Amino acid sequence: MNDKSRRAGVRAAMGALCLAGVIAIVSGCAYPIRNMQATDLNPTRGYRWSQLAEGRLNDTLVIVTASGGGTRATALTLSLLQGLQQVRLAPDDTLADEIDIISSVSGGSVTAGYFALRGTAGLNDLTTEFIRKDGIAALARAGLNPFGLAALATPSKERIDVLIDYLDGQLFHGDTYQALLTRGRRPYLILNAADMVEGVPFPLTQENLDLLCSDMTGMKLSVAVAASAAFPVALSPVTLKNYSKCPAQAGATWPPLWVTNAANTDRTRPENVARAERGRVALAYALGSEAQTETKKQYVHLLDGGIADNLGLSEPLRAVTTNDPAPGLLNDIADGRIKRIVFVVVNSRSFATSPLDETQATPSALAMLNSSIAAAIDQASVGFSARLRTTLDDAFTATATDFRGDALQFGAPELLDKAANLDAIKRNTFLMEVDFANIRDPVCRSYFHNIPTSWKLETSEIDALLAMGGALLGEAPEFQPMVQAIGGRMDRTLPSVASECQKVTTNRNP
Amino acid sequence: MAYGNVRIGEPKDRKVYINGVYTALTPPTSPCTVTVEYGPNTFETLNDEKKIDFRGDAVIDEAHRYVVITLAAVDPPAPALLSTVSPQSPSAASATPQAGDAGEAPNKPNVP
Repeated sequence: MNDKSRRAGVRAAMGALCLAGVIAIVSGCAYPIRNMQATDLNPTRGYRWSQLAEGRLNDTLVIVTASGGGTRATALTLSLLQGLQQVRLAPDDTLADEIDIISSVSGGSVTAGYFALRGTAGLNDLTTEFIRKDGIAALARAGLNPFGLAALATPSKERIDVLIDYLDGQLFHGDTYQALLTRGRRPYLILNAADMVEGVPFPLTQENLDLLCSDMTGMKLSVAVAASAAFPVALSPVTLKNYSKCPAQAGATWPPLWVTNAANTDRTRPENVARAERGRVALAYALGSEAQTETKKQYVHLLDGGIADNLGLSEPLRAVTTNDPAPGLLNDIADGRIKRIVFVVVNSRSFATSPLDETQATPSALAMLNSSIAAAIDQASVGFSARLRTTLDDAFTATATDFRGDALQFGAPELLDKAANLDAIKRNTFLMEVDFANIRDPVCRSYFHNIPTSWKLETSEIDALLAMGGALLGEAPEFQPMVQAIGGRMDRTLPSVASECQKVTTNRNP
Repeated sequence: MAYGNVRIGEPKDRKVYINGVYTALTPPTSPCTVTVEYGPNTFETLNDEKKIDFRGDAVIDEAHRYVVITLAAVDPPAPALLSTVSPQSPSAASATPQAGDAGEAPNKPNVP
């Protein structure tokens, strides 16, 4: 480096430092406030399941979950939604329009958030405005220019703001949860982050924010998506302030009964652990600064949801197996109001080969750090969706058997109806996995598993992903029976996995 | 996950809310049998002012998987959690019920 360039570098650094000082003074060195205090926690207002109009398939619960994985996950989830859009239910209605719940993590949250905001009409924009953009370059430009560096040197701007601003600039344009409420229809969006202290999923729902005495109506969608995608270390967490206990909670039972009853469940019994644990964490949020423990949860630091549940499955699973908010649909299933569950799991996990496997050299600190995060996230996805089927089957089967016995023992014939409903829902649950592991061709499978986790992908990779989601959906064993069961018909045949693999192979070996 | 059932007979023709979840879209109407998780569970009805006017509790476990309860009147009716009543209003501030403190019906486990 010559003297001239060194002086220029010093000048730039000094300029950034001065700018940081000015910004720090102007901003008062305050950390950004990502969530506002609620002045009213009226259950008939706010972004809640109960406030969104249901679709036409009112006896069928349609759930889509979308995993993390950067743009790879964004594109694969989009492809899946476009596949569901080919299942026609009425002249103006497709299966994509009938999704009740979309629960997502990280890269999948970009698609989920945008889909909840724009519906099927916005799906093409997602490709042009986000998936085909070089997000890495944009983030680097935003974070590494002198102004960006200066701003990041102050508490008022955190590393996560670079992603928030990018998401806002490309897709969400300042829209908040109020925009979803104004749209007024399902899907009910559940963006999943993780509480980095508890190590548990933190679904960004109003019911969860109620515990923090916070109104999420004014929360930017870009903030919520970024919280779900805040990859540890590279990005800073999104920190929520816990306002509990606050005036809006006064005059009523606090903490809520669903929290205290769960927390008071006897956790020494293995069958109770899940409920007791939900209660323990929720109680800590609800008590906030009034907790009678040394640690008072006055802030919740949210990182990429993948560190706790990379498939976004925990909330939908809770919805169908409990009465907790929101929604808690156990009783609706047992009473036969929900007769069918369509469950689509998008798993975009990577299984990339690593040069570390071929060298004896000690891996660098950075490589070890990356592995300790990324490998854990990917492993958290393995076999989870297979276990979902077992979990649902076991829960419903065992419960139906218990209820039949109880009907006889206690002379309660209504329990026979509930047992029959649980048996029926087990038969009428259609679980479809969109997972690269289901690609039979090993070369093709390896190609998709090696697409990097990044906000920038090659055009050929994007094209392949945008076709493969629909192809894997169409070849899921339960897809055709599901279409038949809901009375749908295909607008257009979905591409086959083999044909898409052929394109991949041809592109790689022209 | 383990489940039991609670039979709620009285009061009749009232929507029953489970564990303070007043946002349920399709609450069961009494008399009804409600499927719940093991552990403590609370059942309430709301009057026209969205205040709790009947309440009862039941603890479900392996030995008590079917419980029959009658909800007892809550007098005066208590504000529901996240009430529509303004938290600043004097009437709301004057009554802060605790879980199970008013009109609690005793469990009647395993009564056919």
